This record gives sequence, structure tokens and C-alpha cells, in this order.
Amino acid sequence: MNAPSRQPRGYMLGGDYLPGRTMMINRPKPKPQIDPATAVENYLKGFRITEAELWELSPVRPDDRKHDPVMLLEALFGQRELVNIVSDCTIDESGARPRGYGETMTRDEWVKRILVSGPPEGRGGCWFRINPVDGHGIADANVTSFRYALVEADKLPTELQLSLYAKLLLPIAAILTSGGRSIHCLVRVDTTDASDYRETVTHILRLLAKFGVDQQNKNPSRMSRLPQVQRCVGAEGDGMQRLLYLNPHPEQRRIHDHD
Amino acid sequence: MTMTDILEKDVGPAPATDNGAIADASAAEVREKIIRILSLKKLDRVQKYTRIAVEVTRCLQRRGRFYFHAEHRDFDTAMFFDKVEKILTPVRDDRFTGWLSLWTATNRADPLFKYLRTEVENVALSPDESSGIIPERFWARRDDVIYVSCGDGQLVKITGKETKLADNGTDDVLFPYGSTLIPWELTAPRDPFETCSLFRDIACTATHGPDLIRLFVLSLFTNPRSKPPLVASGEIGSGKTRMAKGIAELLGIIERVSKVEEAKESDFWAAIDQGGVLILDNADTKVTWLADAIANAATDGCKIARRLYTNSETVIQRARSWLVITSATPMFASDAGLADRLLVVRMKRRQGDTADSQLSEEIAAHRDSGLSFIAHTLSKALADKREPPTALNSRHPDFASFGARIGRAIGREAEIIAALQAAEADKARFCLENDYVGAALLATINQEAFKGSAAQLLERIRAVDPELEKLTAKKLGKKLTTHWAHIEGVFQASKRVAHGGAYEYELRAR
Repeated sequence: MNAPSRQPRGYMLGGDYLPGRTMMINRPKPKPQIDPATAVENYLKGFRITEAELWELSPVRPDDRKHDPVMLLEALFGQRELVNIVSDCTIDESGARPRGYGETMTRDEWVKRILVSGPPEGRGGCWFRINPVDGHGIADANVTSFRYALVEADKLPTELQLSLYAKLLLPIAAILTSGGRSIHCLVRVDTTDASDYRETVTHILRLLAKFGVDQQNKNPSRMSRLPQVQRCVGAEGDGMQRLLYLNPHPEQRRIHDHD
Repeated sequence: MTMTDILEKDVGPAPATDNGAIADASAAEVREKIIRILSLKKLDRVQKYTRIAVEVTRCLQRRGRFYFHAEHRDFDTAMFFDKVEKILTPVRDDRFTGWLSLWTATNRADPLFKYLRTEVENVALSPDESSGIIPERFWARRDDVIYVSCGDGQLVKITGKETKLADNGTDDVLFPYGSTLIPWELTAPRDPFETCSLFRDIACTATHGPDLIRLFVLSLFTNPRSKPPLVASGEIGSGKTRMAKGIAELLGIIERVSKVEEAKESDFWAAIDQGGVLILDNADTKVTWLADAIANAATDGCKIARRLYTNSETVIQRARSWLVITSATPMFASDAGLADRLLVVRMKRRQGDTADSQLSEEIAAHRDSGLSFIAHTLSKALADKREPPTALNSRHPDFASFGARIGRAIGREAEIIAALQAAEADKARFCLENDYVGAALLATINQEAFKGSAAQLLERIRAVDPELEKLTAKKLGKKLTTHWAHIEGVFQASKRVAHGGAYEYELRAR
């Protein structure tokens, strides 16, 4: 009765479960991941562009850099459209973030004010909402025209960000530096309503996801940086927010076609 | 070709997301942090998991905000508001745990996920890192602003100046995931009582009935603390239940049609705490708790119940829903205290028949314009600062005074005020009609006036209803005392103390 079994351990389980054999689990092999910088390098095929070269290609170039914010507002918004600008900010470990509702005025009122007293400035710089609002708030629901989308990829070196935007087949209205690591690209999408905007922008961002483009910029009330304002918090170099490219009537073609 | 087609041709197709998770920057950031901590060699497993849990909650706090239920203060009701999606979800909800698992790329079966969940729950209940709120349901009101949910993530804000679409969370008004109306669009307003045949052709015995139902529907979003229950009383086939379900269809909420049973009072309080509209269907049989429970609910009451499986912990269930009660023989209305709090609509048998699905399709087709009509009407009513007439409803003065403003807003002020006055006068008759003694009084006093003692009155009413033979003069006297306010409402009634201390009653028809 106490004699040891002559059968191998686990024989009653049947199948392949026998001593000396390993149970194999068929797991799908993970797809090789290409990091965003390499994906951009592959797409660019050696193409590079500098800030100065991009400025040369800009259809609108003010003689005086001080007029950059005015030119930008005039190119992006209609004269009676309400523009929201925020200069107050919260500063924490992740940097400066816009705080509060800011100020909302018509484009022409902003232009007059900036020409007289310059753009509003805060320690974190200055932000403007990329689409016009209704003057009753700053939420997505307050956006009155779903015209521009924000594309940024701050995980990439600035040189690659610039070159990527110059080569993308998109109707780019403006390219701005944030004064930090990021370069903002405003794409003219001209969508009809909020759902159309979300659908179109989500699709664009998904297509550009492999280049490390921020996937959160799906909502129309996003903010970009107002040029000719210097930021102190989270600054790279002199921290100046600059306008690099401005096209009031962009078409869907590359800014620089090096092929 | 569209813009995205051209772009796709240039840069290639979009990469597939892993398991459908949202491929956003916050997900990339949190995953990078998890991998970085996992690869630290100096830490043991518990230290790594603890540190990861802290990092994940920090990332969550950048993406949104934690809340806890100000009344319950427990893990079950702790919540996270996602500022990107504008959605509030309980942290123990399957939707949130599933999303958290995908967002962090951590399998729910992984021991690490247990650390994430517990840390999230701790932070969500911590007063330093979370805020206490009472989550709204379907619609909400703050002073002179009304908020109506519009699917998950959006709401319609109604003020005296305008009606506009806004994000969930606007002015700190938060509707949790699932406690929202089916999405609707602000469009050209059209009165649902004109566009939908279910409401337009409603069969009421009195002319003020449709106006009363219209006022009830238009008042739903105003959320007064005390909400008058609407009682649809009528014979079988009068469309009582269909009308109540039609209201739910118009609003875009799940039709909660509940049966009234003797042993189910706790179910009633659980249901009425859910907000929206609760329908008590066929409340015909005598249920001991029903009258008191409805009366309590109609005056912003609550029930304090013992929390399941505990000895001393309690939970509060509040009357957040509007009540619609349908009944052919509303026995509960014999309660003198309750009858005073009801909005009674008497319905009659409908002529002809209309397919049920056709009525629903019609409501669905006109839902956007109907809700827009309600929103615009409320906006006008909020802007109206003129004093409304008083004493329209003694038990629900807030409802009645705003009702008068609604009447002005739709250009039917006189009709709505007349409906409210008729409903107020009808309460007493409705109570007596549904009481054995009251019904006998109605039958006999309307034929011949009475003057005498309770014993003499007992003889009179026994002649009308022989089933009252067990009733004594003393019990009749008590009955008359409890129902005296309603008796005075229906008859010209007076009583005085006669010789020997007994009351002498005088009753005659008005």
C-alpha cells in the first residue's frame, strides 16, 4: 500500500504535463517600437530646417519683431471675434500653467492695446486661446469657431520639431516657439462644430502619434503662446516666445518641399 | 480627398493603440514613470509598488481631481473627475478601474494594480487632497441657475440671460457617469405638448388637467426642495402609465416604473434617492407605509437607515426624485396629511388607439426641440422678477410661485394659475373620495344638509354605506377631527361643543 507509484508525477493531468517538459504559452511577440525621434528622422530623410530658414519661408514677416503679436492676431482672427489671453499663472514643480479666465476682448481691442502698451506679461509668459470664444467663458462650449488645431511634440529636440512641421502635408497657419522646449504649430482645420472638430483633430493627432505628438490637444479651447513675451519660469535660453512662421491663408502643402 | 486622407498618405497609417487604451501624453508619462521605478535595483518589490502607486495618483491629480461624497464619506462613493473627458466616476466603478488598468498598462490581475487601487481610494478620501461634494443627478439648481445634463461630459446651463452648452464640472456642478440625460441638442424650441400626440391628446376629466401636467413637466429641472407628487388617477385604459413613461422618454432617462409592495419600503427609498423621475405604478392596494413615505418624500424628507452588515453606521436616503403615482383606486390618498401634498390629475378612458412604438418615435423625434423649449421657458421664467400671486399651493409654495412664472413665460399665466387653484381646491375632495367615511359623507351631505352629533351622523352615513356598521360614534368623531380641514374644503362645515362636551356638527353642500 505504501509502495511508491511507478507513474511519473502529474501523469493524471494528461497531455504534455510531464516531468522534464516545460509548458509553453503562446504569447504574441511584441511589435518592435520605434521611438518618436527615430520615426521623425525616418520621415525627414535627412531634411533639416533652421529658425532663420523657416522665417524666410513665412508669407508674412513683420519688419519689426515688436509687431509679431499684432500680425499673429490679425492673421488668425476676424476683427470682431473675441480673443482670450491669459498672463496670470500658477507655478509648481511641473512649471507654469495658465490660471484664471484671463481677459477676453475683440481682436481689434487687443491690437490697439498691444500697440500702446505691449502684450500682457507674466512670470510664466503669456497664452492665447487658438480659437475665438463667446465672451461668456473659456470652456470648449464657449468656442465660437472651430478653426485651428494645436500640434506640439515637446519630447522631440526643437530642431526635429521645426523640421517636422516644415515637411508635414498640413495647412499650417503659424509656428511659434513657447520659450521653452516646445514649438507650437497651428493647423487650420476649419471644422463645422465641436464634434467635427474633435473627430478631425483626433484623427490628425493619431496619425502623428508615432512622431511623439501630444495626443491631449483635442479640444478647441487649447492655448498657445503669444509671441514677443519673455517667460521666466520653465524657460529655455532667453525664454522669449517667438513667431517663426505665419500664413493667413494656408493650403495643404509642405512649407518646404526639399524633394 | 480630405485633409486627413492626404496626411495619412504622407505619414502612413495611425499606430494601433494597445488594448484600446487612450494613447495620450498622460498615459505615456505615467507608463514611463512606472517602468523607471520598476527598474530601480535598490528597492524591493513592496517599495517599488508603493512608490509607483504614489506616482500614479500624482499623475491622476494632474489629469483630474478627486472627490468624496460629503454625506457618505466612504471608499464606495469616492470619485475621480477626468478633466480631459469631463467625466466623474466612482473610483470603484468598473469603468474607472478598467480605464486605470489600460491607462497605466497594468493588468488588473497584477498585484501592482491592488496597490494602485488602494492608493487611489486613500487619496480620494483624504480631505487634504480631495473635496467633498454631493454629486448631482440628471439636473441641478444653484440659486438662479439651472443645469441640465446632456450626456456624459456636457451640460446645458440655463440662466435668466441665456441658455448654453457647457462642460460637465462648470461652476463645480458635477454629474457622475451614468446619472445624465441621453445627449440632446439645443435647437429651435417647440412645445412638446403640441408636437407629441401623447401629451397633446391627454385625456383628463377636468380642463385644468393638461395644464397641470404641462406645469409638472416644465418644473422638473427647477428642482425645488419639496417636490409635489403627481397623481394620475383614472380608470384602466386612461393612459396614466403611458403618460408617466412618456415624460421619462422626453427627458431621456431610464423609465423607473416601480410596483408598490408591503415589504418593500426600503426599495422605495433606494429608488427615490436616485434622482430623476420615479413612477409608482398601480398604487391601488392598501400599503401601510406608502402614505407616510410619500408625504415625507413630498416635503424634502429623508430616511435614515442602518448600513448593511453594520451595527451602528447609518446612511441617509433623500427624496431626490420627482414622483409620479398612477392609480385607479388611490387608497393612499385617504390619508389626510398626504392628500394635502398631492397634485391630482383625473384621467378618463382614451378613445381610439395609437401604437405604443409610434408614440415613442414621435417623442424621440421631437425630444431635442421639446427639451430646448423647456430650457428656453425656464430661462424666461428665471429672468422674470415680478412677484407671482401667493397662496396658490399651501404645501409647495416654491413650486407654485415658480409655476406662475413658467405660465407667464409660455403665455398661459391665467390658465396655469387657474390650474393651480383648481388643483388646490380638488385636494380635499380627492381625500374624501378615497376614504370610506369621506365618500359616505359626500353621498349623503350633497343630498341633504346635516346638523347633529357624531352618533346621529353615523346613522346617516350607515344608510348610505352599510359596510360602516362596525364604525362607532367615537371613531367617527376622531375621523372627522383628522379630516376636518378637508371636510371644510368640500362642505360648508362648522362644529361647536354642545352640552356634555360632545361636538355638534353642521354640514351642508357648497
